[in-house]
Amino acid sequence: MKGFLLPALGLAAGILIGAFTPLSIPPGMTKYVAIGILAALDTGLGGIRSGIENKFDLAVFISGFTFNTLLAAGLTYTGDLLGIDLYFAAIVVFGVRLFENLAKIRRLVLGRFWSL
Amino acid sequence: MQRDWQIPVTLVALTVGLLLSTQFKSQADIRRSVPSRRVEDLQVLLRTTEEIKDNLAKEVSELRLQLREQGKDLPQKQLPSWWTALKGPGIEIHIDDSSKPLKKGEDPNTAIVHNDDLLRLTNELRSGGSEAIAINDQRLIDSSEIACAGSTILVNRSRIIPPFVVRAIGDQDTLDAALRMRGGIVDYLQFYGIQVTISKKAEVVVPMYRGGNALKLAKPADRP
Repeated sequence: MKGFLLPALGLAAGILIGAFTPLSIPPGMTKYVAIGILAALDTGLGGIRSGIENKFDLAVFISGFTFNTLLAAGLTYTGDLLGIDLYFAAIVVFGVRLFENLAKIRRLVLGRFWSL
Repeated sequence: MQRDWQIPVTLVALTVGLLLSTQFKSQADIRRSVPSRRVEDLQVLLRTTEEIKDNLAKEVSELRLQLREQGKDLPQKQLPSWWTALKGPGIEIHIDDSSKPLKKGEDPNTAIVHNDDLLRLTNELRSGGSEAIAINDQRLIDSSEIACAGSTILVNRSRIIPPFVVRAIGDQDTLDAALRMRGGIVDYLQFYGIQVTISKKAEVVVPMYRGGNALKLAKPADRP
């Protein structure tokens, strides 16, 4: 269970920094930030999962985060140019993966207390 | 092995938190700002309400006149002077914004007539012994404000715009001298290019008060 302490602290610290610094997002950029949030959430949960599974690989983690974010941002931008909401694709994919990762983490954590 | 994955994940979690709270803040800002549609609606509402108010004010003054004609008016002594239009010798002052083209670097604010200017002017008239004053047919009474309202000036809660015509009943020469005094109000306004013309009139008519109920709280007291 200790493994979740640092990431949780990081999340709290990030929220506090965001709340108390005068950072703001220009109205046109909110879509990209939303995609960024999803990509980062997906990467974070994926990292936790692989960490628990003892399969964590820093190169995969970093490259996954970068490429997924870039692809999502690229899709959103292309969608803006074409007038099609292509970023829904990224939202759906990230959303599905979020649930998958959460489900795996849940099973793994539960498995430590009860052998299923 | 444990720490290997925790630090990168922590960094990502930090980013998530940062993005989440900034996004939340920005969305809250968007929700708080008044949409422009609403502003337009309110403008239309304001305009129609002002129209209704103007019509009602006209009706009130007509009814007051009828009342007076029927002799049902209160005895003159108990009425404030603004209950009726007054006439007598006095002066008429025309004031308008500067017509000179602005030179480079000049503040356009100095070229327009402000509420302060009208306040100083009317105060000067009162010092000079004027007995009744009106600005653009708005009679000045105890409760009359001369307030700045954007590009207009509020008098008796009504908007007035340039050119301004100030009519005052009183001794013509005294009033004229009070305004034209060296370093006085006319000197000051003309320095900024504001157009002021003063004309002495044998008979000036100052209209009656046409604003809303001026005495809502105040009641006559039985003492001097």
